[in-house]
Amino acid sequence: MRLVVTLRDWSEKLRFSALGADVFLVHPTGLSGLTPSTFSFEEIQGFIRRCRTEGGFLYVGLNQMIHGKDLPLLETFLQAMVPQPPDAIVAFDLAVLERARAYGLSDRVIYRPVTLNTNSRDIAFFRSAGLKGITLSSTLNPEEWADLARVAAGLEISVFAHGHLDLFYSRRRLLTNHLMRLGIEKREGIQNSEWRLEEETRPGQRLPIWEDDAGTHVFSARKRESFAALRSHSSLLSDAFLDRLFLSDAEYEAALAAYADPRLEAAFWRDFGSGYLPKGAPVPANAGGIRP
Amino acid sequence: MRRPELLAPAGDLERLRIALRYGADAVYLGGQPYSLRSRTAVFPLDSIREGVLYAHSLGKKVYVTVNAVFREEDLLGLRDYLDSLDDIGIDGVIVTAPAAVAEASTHPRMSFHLSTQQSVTNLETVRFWAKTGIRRIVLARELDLGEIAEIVAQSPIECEVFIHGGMCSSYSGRCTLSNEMTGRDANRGGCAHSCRWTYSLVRGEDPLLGAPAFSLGAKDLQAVRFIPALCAMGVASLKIEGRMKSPHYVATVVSVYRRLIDDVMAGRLLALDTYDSLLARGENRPTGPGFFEGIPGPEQQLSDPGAPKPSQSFVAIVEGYDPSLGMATVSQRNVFSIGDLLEHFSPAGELRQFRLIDLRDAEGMAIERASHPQEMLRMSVPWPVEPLDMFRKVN
Repeated sequence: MRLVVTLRDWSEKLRFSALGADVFLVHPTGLSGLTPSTFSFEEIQGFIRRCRTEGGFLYVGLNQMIHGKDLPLLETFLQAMVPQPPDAIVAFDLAVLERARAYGLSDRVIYRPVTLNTNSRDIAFFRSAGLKGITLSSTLNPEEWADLARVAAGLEISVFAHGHLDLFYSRRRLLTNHLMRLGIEKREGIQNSEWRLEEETRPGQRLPIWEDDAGTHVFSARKRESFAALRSHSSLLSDAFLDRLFLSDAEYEAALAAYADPRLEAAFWRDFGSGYLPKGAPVPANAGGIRP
Repeated sequence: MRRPELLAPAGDLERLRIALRYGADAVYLGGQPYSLRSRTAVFPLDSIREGVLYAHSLGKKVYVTVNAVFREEDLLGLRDYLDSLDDIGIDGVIVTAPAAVAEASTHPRMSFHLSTQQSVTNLETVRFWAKTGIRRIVLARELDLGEIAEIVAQSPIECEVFIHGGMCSSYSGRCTLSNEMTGRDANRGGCAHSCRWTYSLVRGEDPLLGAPAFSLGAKDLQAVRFIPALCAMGVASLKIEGRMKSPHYVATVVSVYRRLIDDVMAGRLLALDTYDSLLARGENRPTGPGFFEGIPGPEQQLSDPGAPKPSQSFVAIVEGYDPSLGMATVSQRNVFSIGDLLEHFSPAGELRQFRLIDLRDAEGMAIERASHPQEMLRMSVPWPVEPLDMFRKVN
């Protein structure tokens, strides 16, 4: 199993490698949000070349919904990746897979829609579609990760392992719309990780809210951690994504180090243990009404 | 110009009949398992069979939603359930999960439609799904008219577009806010509509003191002014949301869009305000153009959850009529009284008003006020009426 970290700039790569990261996730400008920084296609090609010589895997994340206006840029991106393909293209939208086929890149695509990938027949469906892998829905618990990974045969299974869960993604400018009503400069709402929502009957439970050019996201109040789960299931999983949005650099690095070296987990909990879902508690996303 | 299908919600058999009588070409309904309205508004197989017989007798169609995002335990019985729907002779299923899409090849008699829960927003994603046996895509509600036209013009399969009703604020199928807030799985029929709750905005550790709370929710969609363009671009189906809505809402909304589509196709379009005002008689929430004109601004948000909502006075639905007495048998739905000015509303679209002068209970005793929900009553009406006609109070 590989530990996947998001890079804010290339200078972090060496440090994250030393802490135990296997894969470096970067995001291309114009086709991604939810990230501290994005990179040009040329820069990404340069990162890929450097990983080839220095070691490490390079993934490119396209984590936004693709609309018609985005398709020409997607085409340009895929063309630009052909000379030195990244180790994976992590896609939120199936348009990426559909166009990647035309460039012989479909076996590099990891489909990561945040929700949706939830059962063994979904896995069989995507295995036949010829992708590299899928990321399981964030609503599944570690036992379900393992059960599904065991039947994946040939399709890589990855999970969202660490950070605030992305609960809600709207194309609407929800934050700037509200700030405009309040007479606050709307730029204050864009790519600003300071904003939180507090529901009126849940004082103290604050949900991070983030807006960028691709829309508005709301995140879980508490963070997921998967130290024990990854230790148990590392042989079944291909990638574990560690997200850094709303985390300090120190917390992110301590988490990465603790995933890579379990002896450091106690130090992580000592220094950064607040704001996480209780250890061993079920993921609060399993109850449904499907069978009344 | 291709005539689009008008597709309406059916929360139960009564609303199925109303939707079809008031002008829908097809209805969609939720089966008992696997639907996103699993707590209410669901049909057991016997009711689906009854609904299909009724619809087919009118030359109309029934689609069944199987649009939950399945967990592993949900797969058990899925194929048997689809077999049962196939045996009943439904016209199509609306699916979300690839696990269900994969069943299309084994059920060729049924048309498989991809739910808006997959949030398809571009032509390339349409092309991906078109190769899987899907025959119709319900496009994401986040598309503007230009984006819809571009997809429809080049899509290898039919496209369906929402034209009226509730809007998810999030891209559908990508939201688990309800899971976080209540433990109810939004994508398996448990959505608690947490986006419509009241929130405060906090920056860092500091609440914005004095700032009004707000909701993430969106106004309902109302697409009257966009119907001519949607017809012209060749959209296969125009869909109304609202399996949980009242019979009066279904009747009002369906009848207005029926008339509007027919008028567009016949080249006799009235001023759009005419349709707007008719539609307003059935609305129970504020409405707007959704994404049809582009990304919505602040005015399209339900920014103030405490703001007054439109209210309607649907009072009774007709069960029968005795022409010798000039009396209708009705089922009461809201309080009304002798002396009230009532409006008669029928599938023919005619609106006529009268003052109520005679109201009787089931035993024929004269009463002043109808105050018991679902009570069967008789009332004088100055002209013949038909079953499923409705009365609303004129304020």
